[in-house]
Amino acid sequence: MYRMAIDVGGTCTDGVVVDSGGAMHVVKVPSTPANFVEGFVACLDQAAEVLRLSLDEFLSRLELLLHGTTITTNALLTGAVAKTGLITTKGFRDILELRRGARSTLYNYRVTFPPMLAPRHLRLEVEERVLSTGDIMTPLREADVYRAVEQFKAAGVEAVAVSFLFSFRHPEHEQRVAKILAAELPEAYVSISSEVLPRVGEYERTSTTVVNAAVGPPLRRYLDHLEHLLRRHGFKREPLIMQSNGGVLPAGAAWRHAVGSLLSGPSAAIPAALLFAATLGTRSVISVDMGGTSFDVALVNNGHMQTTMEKSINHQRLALPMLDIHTIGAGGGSIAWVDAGGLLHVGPHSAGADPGPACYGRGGADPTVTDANLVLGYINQEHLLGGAIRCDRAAAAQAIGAKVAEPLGISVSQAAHAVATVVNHNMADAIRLVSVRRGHNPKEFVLCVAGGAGPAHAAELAKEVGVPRVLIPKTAAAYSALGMLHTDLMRSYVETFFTRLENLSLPRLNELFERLEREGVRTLQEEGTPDVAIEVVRSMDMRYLGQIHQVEVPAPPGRLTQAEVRQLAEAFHRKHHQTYTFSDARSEMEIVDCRVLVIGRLAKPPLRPAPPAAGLEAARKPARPAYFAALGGYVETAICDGALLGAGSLITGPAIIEETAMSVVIPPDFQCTVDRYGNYLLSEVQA
Amino acid sequence: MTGETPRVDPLSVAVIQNRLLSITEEMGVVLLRTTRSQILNECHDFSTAIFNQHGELLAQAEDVPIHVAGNHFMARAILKSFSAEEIAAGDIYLMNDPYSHNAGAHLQDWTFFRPVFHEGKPVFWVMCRAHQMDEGGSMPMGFNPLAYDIIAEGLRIPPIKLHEKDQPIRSVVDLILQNVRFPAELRADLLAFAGCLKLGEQRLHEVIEKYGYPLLAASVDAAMESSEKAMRAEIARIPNGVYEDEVYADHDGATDQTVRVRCRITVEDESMCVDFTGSEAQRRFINSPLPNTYAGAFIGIFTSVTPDIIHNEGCYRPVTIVAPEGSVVNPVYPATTGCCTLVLGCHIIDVVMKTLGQAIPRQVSAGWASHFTINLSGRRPESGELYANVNFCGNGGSGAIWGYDGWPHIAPVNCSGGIIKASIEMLEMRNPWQVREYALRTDSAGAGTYRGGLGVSLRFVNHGYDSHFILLGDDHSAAPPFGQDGGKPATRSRCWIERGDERLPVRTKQHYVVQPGDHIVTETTGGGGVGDPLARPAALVREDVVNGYVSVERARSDYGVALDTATLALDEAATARLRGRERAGEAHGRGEEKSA
Repeated sequence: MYRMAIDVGGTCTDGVVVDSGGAMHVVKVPSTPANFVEGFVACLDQAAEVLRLSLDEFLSRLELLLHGTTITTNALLTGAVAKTGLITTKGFRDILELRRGARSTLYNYRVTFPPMLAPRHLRLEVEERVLSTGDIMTPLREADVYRAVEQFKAAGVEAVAVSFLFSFRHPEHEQRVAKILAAELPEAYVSISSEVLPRVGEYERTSTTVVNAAVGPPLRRYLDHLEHLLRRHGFKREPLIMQSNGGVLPAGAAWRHAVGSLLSGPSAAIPAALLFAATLGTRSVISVDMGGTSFDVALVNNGHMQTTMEKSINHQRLALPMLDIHTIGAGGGSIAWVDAGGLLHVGPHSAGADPGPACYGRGGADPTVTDANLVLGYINQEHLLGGAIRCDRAAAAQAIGAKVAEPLGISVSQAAHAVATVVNHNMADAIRLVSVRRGHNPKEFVLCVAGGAGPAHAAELAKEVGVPRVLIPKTAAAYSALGMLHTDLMRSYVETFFTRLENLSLPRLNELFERLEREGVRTLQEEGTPDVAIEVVRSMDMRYLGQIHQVEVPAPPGRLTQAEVRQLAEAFHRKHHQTYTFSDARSEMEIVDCRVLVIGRLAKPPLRPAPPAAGLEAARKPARPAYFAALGGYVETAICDGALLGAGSLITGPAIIEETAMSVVIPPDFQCTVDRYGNYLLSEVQA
Repeated sequence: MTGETPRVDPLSVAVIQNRLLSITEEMGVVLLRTTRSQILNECHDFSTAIFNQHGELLAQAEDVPIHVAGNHFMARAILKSFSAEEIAAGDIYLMNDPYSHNAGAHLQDWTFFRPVFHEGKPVFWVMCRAHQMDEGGSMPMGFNPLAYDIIAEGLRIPPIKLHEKDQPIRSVVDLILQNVRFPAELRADLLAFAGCLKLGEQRLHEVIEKYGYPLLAASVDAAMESSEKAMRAEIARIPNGVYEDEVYADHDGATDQTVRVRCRITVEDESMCVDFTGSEAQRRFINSPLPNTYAGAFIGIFTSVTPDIIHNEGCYRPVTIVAPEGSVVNPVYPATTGCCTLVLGCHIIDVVMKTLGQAIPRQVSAGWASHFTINLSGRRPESGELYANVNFCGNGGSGAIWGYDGWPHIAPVNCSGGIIKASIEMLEMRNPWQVREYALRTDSAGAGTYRGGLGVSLRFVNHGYDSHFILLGDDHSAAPPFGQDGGKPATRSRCWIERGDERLPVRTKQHYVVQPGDHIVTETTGGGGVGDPLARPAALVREDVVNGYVSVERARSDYGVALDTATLALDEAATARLRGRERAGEAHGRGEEKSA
């Protein structure tokens, strides 16, 4: 039996397949943005081929299919979201745009107002009003809903978000609108705030719901198509979709909760980074993943995965718990362009996989980072994507010449170098933001560099940011996919349970916990994954009366007793003290939410040692010129075949190691050793 | 002890500077997450900072700007009030009084300090400053335009010790709690302020431990020098010269007379002098004590230069500020100051931006909407307990800046988006008020190549008993938010009470008693525009009309863009004619156009 994880990025689709014995294969194919499913299936095909099986045979032996998808993230970053309407309580359609009147940069006024995913002319109001108690002041006027439907029809709206005031207290109005929409606009993706985020706070709830609606249709189309194809080839289980909270959800649940799949692939980077950092004996790692479209960076300090509910992606506020990953538009496909004032920019727009960089010869005329790397000799024109694409260096040079070199009045090679330098600085800034800016010294971290495009930039990045140790996993090109194999099934449940501790009804509390647990355990069992050990973790969000933020306190299993409730109160005081340096024994306490996290532990494949070094000569490939500014331009550069390098090899720069889906560039002042698992360790050579 | 200064490298300086910044941010998280008072835990009306033993600012979180750029006055007030022998580890100091060594601005803002000791000496101070829902005085929440003197505005606290040896001084705390209207909330919040400072102290000890004090001290000095250098380089880019301008506030709440703030900026190479001579003699209620005046001036400057400079003491050094004693920008005892941040705070920033705009019109923002903040208090119907609410939901839009449209609803400029407006749901859960409308206000912004951000329309309904209402801010009846570099000014803000069929106009800075069922309605102005409105692409103007930001009529009169009233289709020929005529009019002297 096999397990497979597939991460579909904007440019490449990466797969890792593991058999029961832990033997691992990495496959990589181009993503197919016009229809991402094709790339996904091509990836399965390739895995089957590696295992010498037919696709149907392979799928019948596949016990677990994990999937990270960039569909929703890409949609938000590029603005290619569904045409989205919003229905609100009368008088409140602008909640989304008022943004609580806040901006994060107080002294920088030069900030473009964020795009409205539901533009004002598609935000319609209906007569209805629920009071803070949950009582109805004004019943829903359905005629208003029908009128909105007509306007949405006329405008060709594909998704509708519904967010009413106090819907977390009284969801019926939103539910009724959802019913009407289902009947009248059956094609539309409908998202209601009481389902997406049943919590107080109209702006945060509305924004999260609108994002869910805007990215829902692209995700739904995709998953429908994918499941259809998988079923046709005999795969009977549901693929599990990587979620931004670090767990996975079955596809059928994932599309309804589209917002949970934002940063899906990148979230899997964290388990991957921790896995590799452990081989160097540390749990402090900065993980960077440079793919075709985006650059994701996350910092793990001493094993602690940071989650946040304060996230915004492309200025769109999301109030769900997510792993804290910072993303910018910088990747191999990022387009280089010169503005009217003669300033060179790289990104945030990407040529993606189609048409892709100019060198793909698929009609892309814009120069990209990949084109620059090709011109600089860092990547092999025969070798891109493991030979799946033959690159046209002349086309790359021409695009850089026309759109960068000419406007700037410099040579093509200088222009290519400038493109690489600009993108390196953009990425270094992003690394500083999560490290230096948050008070962490990069010197104390390992930089784990992944993604198809990352290893070509790793050394320059490390130098720019000041990280002494760089690890490039042998499987860097399928980093997130690998990380997914180290995640667990996860179902989290939160239910609001407002009560003062002194008025707590134990039977009600026990009933709630038991109900949530039953539901969670049943769902995980129904998902029918073999050898899953189910764990249940309970907690409660508590606070002192008058506070509006909560502290999460672990709760014991089983029927809670009065004595245990007293212990919970003690635990809350203690945790409040630990976190905030004080507690307040005189204050009344409240329980706000009850949480149940149901985890289905999946078996993790072990890392396998690499064969020992067989001497560098065996791995030597024909040298070629590559550009190093420190050496004044192009120099004849040694090329090694990564597949033939064994553990313990030492390569000094300038040199390039070619793997099937990536190139490790070792500049003149760097050296690279191959560790016992075949991973590459880059370090600066002290002069 | 060698006495040698350790060599600092640029990376350590950056890492340490950023570590201190992140400590101030973490201190802010403690306040936000543990306080009980709504203006703190929801609206974020507080600030945190770290100073060295000389009272020099080392780091401050990006909190409410009008606090932040004047906090060094308070740090120095302690040093003036206490001798070295009196200061001990585990102390907490408290102050709010503008007339005790400039230890405050308005009495609502309380500032707390804790020394951080190393080898027996205080080497750092951690600070938090927070707006209190009430600080005693003649009216709830401390806003009384007619207060006889500052004694009548609330409890005056010179720099005093609140804690000794990590224990609250009971008699002091009891005295304070006996003199405020929300003692239970304040009792709990005092724990939060102490907790925030304690966390700051712990973190600084960790930093001292990690880097050693000598390297740390040398690094923060280097960081201040670096900010000073960067600030000087920015000033050097402003053309040398003397620039003068003035602005007016609607009134001071006690009379109907406008209030003039005058400013003369002299730029000489790498330094700058901001002189407020010519501003009016002190009035009532709106007077701005020095810390507030400094903060206002620096907000105007900081936002007009690169945002990349870290705001430590170094950036203050190249700028001299002159504020004549006894004037509205530097009042003397016993002048009242209750509304200093909300009113004059904004006008001081305005006048600095307007004046700097003469020198660098494409770097400076157009005028923002002033405060238009609804303050409510009364008795809860269910319990009879006193409640108070400041929600900031009525605030208008920001001015545009060259290259960028203004943002809606992030005014006032003295907060610049740092105050988070209340959630309507939280507001209704906590107070006997209901909100019926909270929307963008069409045509409220100034036109320009870059348009101002829109103001809002707001409607509150009283679901409780008779309640007190005071509208804090400025309705721009003296002058709308100004345009910059050919951009147009915005409009005025308005407020009224609806009682049955009656419509009672509301004046800013005056107390009203609202009855059960009364509606309070506000309509705020947006910000001013930047650049010639005729140069705004017609397609963008059309989009503004489609979304209801700009009306068809104003698209025509302000932007010279003709749209079909029914379909909103762009009439290119008519637009070209309109714009051509406007431009020709400009070329032949604007006087005629204006009178037309």
